[in-house]
Amino acid sequence: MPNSFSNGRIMLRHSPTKRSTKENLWLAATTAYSAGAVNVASVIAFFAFTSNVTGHVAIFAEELVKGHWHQVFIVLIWLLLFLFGAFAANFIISSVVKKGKYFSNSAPIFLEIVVLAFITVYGHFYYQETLRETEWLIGGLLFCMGLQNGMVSTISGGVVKTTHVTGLFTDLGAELSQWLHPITPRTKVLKDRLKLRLYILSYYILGGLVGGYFFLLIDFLAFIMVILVLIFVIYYDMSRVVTKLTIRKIKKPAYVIQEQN
Amino acid sequence: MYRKLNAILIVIGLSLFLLIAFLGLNVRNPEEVIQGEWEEKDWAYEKIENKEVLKLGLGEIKKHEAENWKFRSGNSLEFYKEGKLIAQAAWRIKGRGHILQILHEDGSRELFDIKELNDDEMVLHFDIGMETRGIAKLIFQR
Repeated sequence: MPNSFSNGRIMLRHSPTKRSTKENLWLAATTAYSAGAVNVASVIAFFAFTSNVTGHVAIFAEELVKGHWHQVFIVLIWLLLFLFGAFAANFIISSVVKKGKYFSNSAPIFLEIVVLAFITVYGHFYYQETLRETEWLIGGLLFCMGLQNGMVSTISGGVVKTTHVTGLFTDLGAELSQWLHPITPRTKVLKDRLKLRLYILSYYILGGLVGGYFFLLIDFLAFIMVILVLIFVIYYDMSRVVTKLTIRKIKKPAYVIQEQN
Repeated sequence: MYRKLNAILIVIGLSLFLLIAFLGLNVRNPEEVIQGEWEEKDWAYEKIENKEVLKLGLGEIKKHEAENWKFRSGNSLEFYKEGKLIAQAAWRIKGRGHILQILHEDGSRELFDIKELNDDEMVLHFDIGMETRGIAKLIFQR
C-alpha cells in the first residue's frame, strides 16, 4: 500500500469542502479497483462493458439506425439503469443526510453490496446463460456502477469519478501538460490532482487484472472480492468512529460514565 | 423557469416510458428468432486485399461451407451437409443479443458477431480478433 494509505484517513464522513487529498485518494483507489474488476469480469462473462456508458450511447445510435429494435430496447434500458444508479445514490445521500454524513454516504455502497451479492449468488448457482438473464445481470452491474460513480462524485464534490477513464485521460493529459510546461507553475493543487488521476488509473487497471484473472478461475465468485473491498470501505470509517468513541469513553473519569449509565 | 424545466423533464420521462413500453411489447428476443433451420448461402470476404491475412485467422477456426444449421429450443445446434448430420453443438446468445457462441462437442468454442438476424436472413461475422474482425462473413437464409 502507498504511504498515504497508512496515515489512516477516513473515506466517507467528510463533505466535499472538508475533504483532504488523502481521503479522496483512499476513496478513489478502492472504488476504481471495484469498477475495473466489475468491468473486466462482465466483458468476459457477458461480452458487455458495465463500468461506463460512452460505448453504449454510440451502440444505441448505431442499432437505432440499423433498425435492430431488440438491441435498441436493451441498450436503452441499460443506459437508464446506469442513470438511475447515479440518481439513486444522490437521492439516498440527500434523504438520509440528517442521520449523519457517514450513514448517508455509506448507504449507496451498502445498496451496491446487496445488488452485487445477488448477482454473485445468482450468477454462480442459477445462471443458465439465457439472453434474458444476461441482459438483466448486465443491467444490474450497470446500476451498481452508476450508483458507485454517483456516490463517489457526490461525496467528493465531483473531484473523483472512478468508473470510466475517458474523462480521466483527458484530465490527465491536460494536467501532465501543465506540470511539464516550462511556464506553468507546479502548484500543490496540480500535484494532488495528478496523483489522484494516477491512483484511479492504477487501481482501475489493477482491479481489471484481478477481476479478470479470478473470473476465469472461479466465475461469478470473483465478485466477492469487489464486495469485500466495498465492505472494507464501509467498515474502515465505522471502525474509526467506534475507536474514537471508545477512546473518548476511556479518557472520561469513572464517575462521569457511572452518572451517564 | 423551474416550471418549464419540470415540464420538459416530465415530457422526456413519459416519452421514454412509452418508448420502452412499446419496444418491450413488440421486440422479439433473438433467441426466438434464431430457432429453426438456416441454409448457408454465402461466404463473403470484405475489408481485405491481402489474402495472407485470412490464413492467419482461418487456420484456427472451423470452416462451415454449404452447411445447414438447425437451432433447436434446448440450445442444441445441429450441422447438416447434403442432408446428413455432421456435427452437434450447443449455442448461446450473449451481450445485447449480438454475440453467438457455439460450444462444440470437442470442447472448442466459436464466437460470431450477429450482424443481422431477422425471419429471412442471418449474417454472422467471424470474431477472430480485433485486427481481422469483419473480414469473413457467413450469410444464411431460411
